[in-house]
Amino acid sequence: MATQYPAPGTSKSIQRGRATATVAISAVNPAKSKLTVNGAASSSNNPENASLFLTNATTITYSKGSLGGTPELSWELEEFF
Amino acid sequence: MPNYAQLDAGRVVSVTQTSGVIDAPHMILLDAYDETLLGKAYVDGEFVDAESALPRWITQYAFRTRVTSELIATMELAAMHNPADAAPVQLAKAVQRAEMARCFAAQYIDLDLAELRAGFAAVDPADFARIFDAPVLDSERP
Repeated sequence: MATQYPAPGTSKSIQRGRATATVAISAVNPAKSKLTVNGAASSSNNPENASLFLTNATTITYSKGSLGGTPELSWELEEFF
Repeated sequence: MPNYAQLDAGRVVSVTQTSGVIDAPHMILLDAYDETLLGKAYVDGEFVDAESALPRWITQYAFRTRVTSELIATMELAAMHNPADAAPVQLAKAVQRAEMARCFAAQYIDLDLAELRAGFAAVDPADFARIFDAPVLDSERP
């Protein structure tokens, strides 16, 4: 019987969170992952200038940018086969 | 899926639902995903409001702002040396001046310090509450 493999492009895992700093995550393949930032909690804390980046397999880096403030950012990371 | 509160310097900086286990001392495993923990302090295994977990210290500038220049002037006038006073009164005023000098020379003020609070016991109760019991703002902290 042939081994069944997931079709490329199907979802392998989803992680999510809300952060005000760089985040530790379970290991993913960055080349097959998509990070979505869903927005900030506060409009008074320069949320438009804050951002998140998947910097390596286990880290989402938080950057509050040059305007200061530390808004809460919601994010979701989906990894694909 | 496991849920974690991620700590930095004792505060929750991230609430995260991961796809696998993360074994690290700064990752506190949660029973459920709870975003309300963000910003709280983690003390003795409990999540508490960060405000209540921090010492109530404020800068000298913030303390003088709370006390107000008018009240400081009133206290200084009340403590001025008067050679006509009886010796015990002169001594009490001298102690009061010394205490004020010590207080206003400090780099920061501990609002919960009993002897400091006692030194301000004679001020109006509303002023006392405004000076010592109002929540400490981040901008007032050293």
